[in-house]
Amino acid sequence: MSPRWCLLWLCALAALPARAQVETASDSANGCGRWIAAGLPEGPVALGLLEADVATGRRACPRTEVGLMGRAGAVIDNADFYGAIGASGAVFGSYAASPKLELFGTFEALRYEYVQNATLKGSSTSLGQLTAGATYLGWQSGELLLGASGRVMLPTGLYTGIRVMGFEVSGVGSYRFGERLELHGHLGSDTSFGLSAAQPLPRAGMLLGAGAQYSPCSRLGVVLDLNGRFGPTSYFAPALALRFRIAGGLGGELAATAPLLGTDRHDAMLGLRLGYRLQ
Amino acid sequence: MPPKMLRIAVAAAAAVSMSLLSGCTREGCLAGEPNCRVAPPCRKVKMSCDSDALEVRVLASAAERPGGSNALGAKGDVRIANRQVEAVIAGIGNQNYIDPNGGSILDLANPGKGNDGINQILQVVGILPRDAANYTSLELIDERPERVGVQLSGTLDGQPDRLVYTLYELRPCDVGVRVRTEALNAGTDPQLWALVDGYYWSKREPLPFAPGEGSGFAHKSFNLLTINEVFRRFPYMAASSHAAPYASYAEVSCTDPYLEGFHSETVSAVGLGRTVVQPRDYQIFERYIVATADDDAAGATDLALEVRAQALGEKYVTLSGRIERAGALSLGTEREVSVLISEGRLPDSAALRIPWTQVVPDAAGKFRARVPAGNAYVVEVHSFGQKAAEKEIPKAVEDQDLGAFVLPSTARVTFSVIDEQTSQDVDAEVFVVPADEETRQATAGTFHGQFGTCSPWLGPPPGSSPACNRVLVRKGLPSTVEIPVGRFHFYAFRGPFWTLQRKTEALTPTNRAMSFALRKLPLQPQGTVSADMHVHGGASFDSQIPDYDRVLSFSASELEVIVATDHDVVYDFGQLVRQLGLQDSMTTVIGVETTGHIPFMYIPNYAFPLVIGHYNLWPLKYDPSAPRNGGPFDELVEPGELFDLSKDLFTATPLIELNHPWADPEFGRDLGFPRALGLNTLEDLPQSDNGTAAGMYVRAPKGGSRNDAHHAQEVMNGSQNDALLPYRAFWFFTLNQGQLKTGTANSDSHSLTDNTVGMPRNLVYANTRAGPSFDVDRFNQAVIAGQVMGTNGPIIESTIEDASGAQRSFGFAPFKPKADAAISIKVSAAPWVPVDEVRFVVNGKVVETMAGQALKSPSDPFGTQGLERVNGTVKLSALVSGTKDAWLVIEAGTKLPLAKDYGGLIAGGPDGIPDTSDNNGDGLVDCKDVQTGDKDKDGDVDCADHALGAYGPLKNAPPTRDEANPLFHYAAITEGYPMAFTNPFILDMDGNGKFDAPGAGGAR
Repeated sequence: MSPRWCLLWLCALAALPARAQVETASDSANGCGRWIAAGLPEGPVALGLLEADVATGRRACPRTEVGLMGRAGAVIDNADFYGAIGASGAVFGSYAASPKLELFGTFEALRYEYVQNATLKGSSTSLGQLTAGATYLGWQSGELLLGASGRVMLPTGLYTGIRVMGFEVSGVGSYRFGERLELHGHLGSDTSFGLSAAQPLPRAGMLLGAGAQYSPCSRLGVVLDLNGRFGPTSYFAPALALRFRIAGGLGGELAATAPLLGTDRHDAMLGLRLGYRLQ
Repeated sequence: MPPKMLRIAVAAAAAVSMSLLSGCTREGCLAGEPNCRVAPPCRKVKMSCDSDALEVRVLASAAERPGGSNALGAKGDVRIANRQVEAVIAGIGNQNYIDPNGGSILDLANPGKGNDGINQILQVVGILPRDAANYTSLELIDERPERVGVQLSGTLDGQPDRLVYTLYELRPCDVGVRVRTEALNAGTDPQLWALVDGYYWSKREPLPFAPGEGSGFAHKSFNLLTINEVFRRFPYMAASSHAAPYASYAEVSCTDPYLEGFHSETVSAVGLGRTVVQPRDYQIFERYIVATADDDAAGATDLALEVRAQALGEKYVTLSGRIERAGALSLGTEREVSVLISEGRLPDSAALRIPWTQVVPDAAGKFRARVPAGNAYVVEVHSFGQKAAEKEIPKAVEDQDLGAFVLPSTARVTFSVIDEQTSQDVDAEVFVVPADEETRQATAGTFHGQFGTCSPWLGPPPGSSPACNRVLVRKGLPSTVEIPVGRFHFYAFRGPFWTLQRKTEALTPTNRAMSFALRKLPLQPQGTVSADMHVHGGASFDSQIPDYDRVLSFSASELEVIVATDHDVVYDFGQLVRQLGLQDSMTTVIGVETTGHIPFMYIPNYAFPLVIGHYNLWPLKYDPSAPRNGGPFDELVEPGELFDLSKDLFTATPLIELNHPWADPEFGRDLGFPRALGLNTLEDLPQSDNGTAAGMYVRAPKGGSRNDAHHAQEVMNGSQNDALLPYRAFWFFTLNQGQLKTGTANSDSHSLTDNTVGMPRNLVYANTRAGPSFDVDRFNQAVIAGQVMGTNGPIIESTIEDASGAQRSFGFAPFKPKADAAISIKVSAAPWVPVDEVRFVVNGKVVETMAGQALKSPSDPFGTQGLERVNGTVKLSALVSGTKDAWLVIEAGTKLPLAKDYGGLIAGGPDGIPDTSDNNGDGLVDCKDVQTGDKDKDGDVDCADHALGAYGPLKNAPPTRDEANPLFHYAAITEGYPMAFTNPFILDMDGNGKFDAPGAGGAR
């Protein structure tokens, strides 16, 4: 499909206000309950620059879903004769254990890395990282939702001689203006370290993110997040995502992010998530 | 849960746990603990002997370093040794070659043998400068009597978050050095590493040998852009020197059945496979580097197989046999016999066999070598560069004696050369040339396909005499060599100013004596000394010619002044000169050729870092206790800074010579600064740095010397003279810019065969004589003043009458010619040196040519008559008119090769430097001569590619094989063509007392 047809299609979708029905299964008419469509993803863009979904903000509202995600990123540094392309495929899922508690996890089932150093080239394929965590929606006042989220990264990545582990805690929040516009943000910290014969090289960072999702219709949402990390690997990286609901609980996210400032050397990262919301 | 399921679950959990926790045991220095110790390498390997001698110490002087042509150890370096092996590790800050800051193995030898054949072994993870380990601390480990070692810590060069630790360890009975390197990617990006030992062979040195299908000594060629495709696996790598004192080396992994890397005659990479190393991940490489005093690969591969037997459990067997040849003078060097043992069968082509070892028999012809057990092998016996016999072993399961291999007999020829006038023996060189095509083909040989082809092949080209087809003859000593049977011309040569004598013989397997008588010709002008100001010996990283042969070759070419210009190391031939009793007629000047190894310099519009090329500096002090024997630090600096750094090293009037200014790069390293910059000689140089490459050429990088502050520039380099046209064009460009740099002519000889020393040479009007009274100040001042003629045969003597009536010779002092001045010109040459043309070049353009009937030709190339080819005058007004200043250079020789300038280096388009010759021999230079640059990617190079910008190459026509061609005899000695040039007359036509340069193109 050409870019022009794509744009027309998106506009047509956006011009369907009459079909914009609230399809949430929530028991509340505000807060988490006010969402334009159950199948439409919500919360911060789930595309980060670190392992698996590490350092990505979590949504405040629990939901039960399963899905697949893929992402690919590149570091092209001609001046330094360095290039790396990484890609991974992962499964993710979350379980709304209660209206306030969500348990979630992501497992990079396949991680591929191609690296070129001047004229030497090589690649590796391995299992990637497994992350698991929980978000607790602790405070709600009208449309304002505040919660806490924690995540651990388990050492499942089978690299040559290293296993990497980490954890992350953050406060998350969202504010919804009706069913079409959500503001969301997170503030937290992450750290990771190696398990190997070598030094663990712990690396911690402060995480800060804020963004908004606007959903002109139940089938489409647009998200713009501004994410920052302060630490050995630092970045200020806007993330832009197009979210869509395919049918019923089935939705997806096509996202891109690129660090504009900081030490992270990625040129860009692209991600595609397809999820099915069960609850 | 059923018990079976439970067991599976427990097993899976255990496996996962093991996996997660694997490697959690802290190891070596990877944990980053202070005062850490790299774990002892190769713990399964235990050698036995009856000695517990061990030594580790910091060298206090060069006297403590191993001997050998490549020995580099200096004060501050560290020596570890036992009774079998000694190694020198560069101290921190002692930079050599590619190693940025010390820590590499500089010398590896056997105590008492003086046989170091290693230039450098260093740890790298890739091919970029930043991929080399830059060690910043060094610790001695003295745990005698158990072990000694040297531990180094650092990072990859310029990458503080890529940590590298290396331990060199020696135990009392070791036959090699144990090495372990630990490298940690403490950064945040994945890296592609090939953690390897880089062996810097650099041509004409030990050749790498690695088992592999169709491999052994043969390796796929590559360049920096295709290097990734030539990585391959091999069980070990070996190499041996090709001149005495011999050394044999091998590297083998202590942990893995295969190493990975690549090989060429310039470098080998031996180590771990290319691996994506994630952040926080690491690599460990343990290996054993064997060193023995043998002249074959087997000396070390036998021990490499012993290491594999102990470390990996691989079994080996020993194959033995004997070589017989009736009348053999010797069977104990690789020129006479080299045995290659390959896995495979007789019907298999060489491409399918796997060479495992190469062995040279002892003097009696007996050989033995180890190979892995259980395979079928083919044993090939090579003699004088050719396969002479082979046998098959269907399966080698136990030690086996293969019996006798009988080789065909050769002729034994004893040469002597006398001075016809005194009847005294003289030093000389004999060139053996096939007299017919049948002999040429029958005697063509190589060293197992390497070092080029020679007919006949009398010995390894980089080694001692006889080398390739050349034999040095020392006065008063019998020079007897074995030569395969056939019909040959024998040329006796003693430099361009002597007669050449030829004898033609059909050799049979008998003893034969051959005497020559040569006569010195009255050619060399009074007041001149002949000088080769660019000569290499075994001290250079790309030469292994023994000092004896090197100095004898100077004498055999009757050179008077030789400037020793070994790459990056200062060297002094004085001791050998005295030993050979040549000190009264020969002077060797101590110098160096600075040689950029580490790319660092960026120029506009080009992405890759560059080096600054090569410069000769002399006279210097030979100080073997200092790094580089006292040579300057020449890496990471532009020429001007190099000149500044060198100022205090000169011992008399400094002379800096820009070498081969437009030579093609080798292994990504430029050899000449102007070419590295890609200068466009169609445009004038700026006055100062204007941000362009030309601005870099003229700038003073540190505010001191300018980058163009050299005194002289090579116009002729090498006996083949194959890059004369670009060097000459660049010289003319600088003269047109008013940069009066002396044009020089040097052999750049590294062996007896790559270039004939003294061909070409300089005649310096220095009014000093070689020998005890030699005045290097006067010599250098004469060179700086342009009082030099360069030649590989012809002699040009010329003067112009100035306004005061005095006869002025060429040189840089400007003078106003007399109004009706004539140029006095005399050109002479030995009868065997053809001279077809005399050219007058004004401001870079040939304005007059004397040829044909204007020149005389001698009738007998081997006679003594007909030296003078022209002697007369030419009116200056016919060459230079008007009142604009000009410079005039006179050239003599054969016609210049046809060539055109089609392309440029950086900007593209013509740059004033010839780049394409008449490669199809049709007498024209056009698009049909373009053979490089498949621009349209259609699989060939043709005029369509030329239209898209393709050009080149520039190369000489092959030496003539037509005996009727007057060049035949000359080409037998040089493979080039005669050429001589004067330095310029600087004509101050407007009489203002200075030279007003004409500018680019000479057309101001």
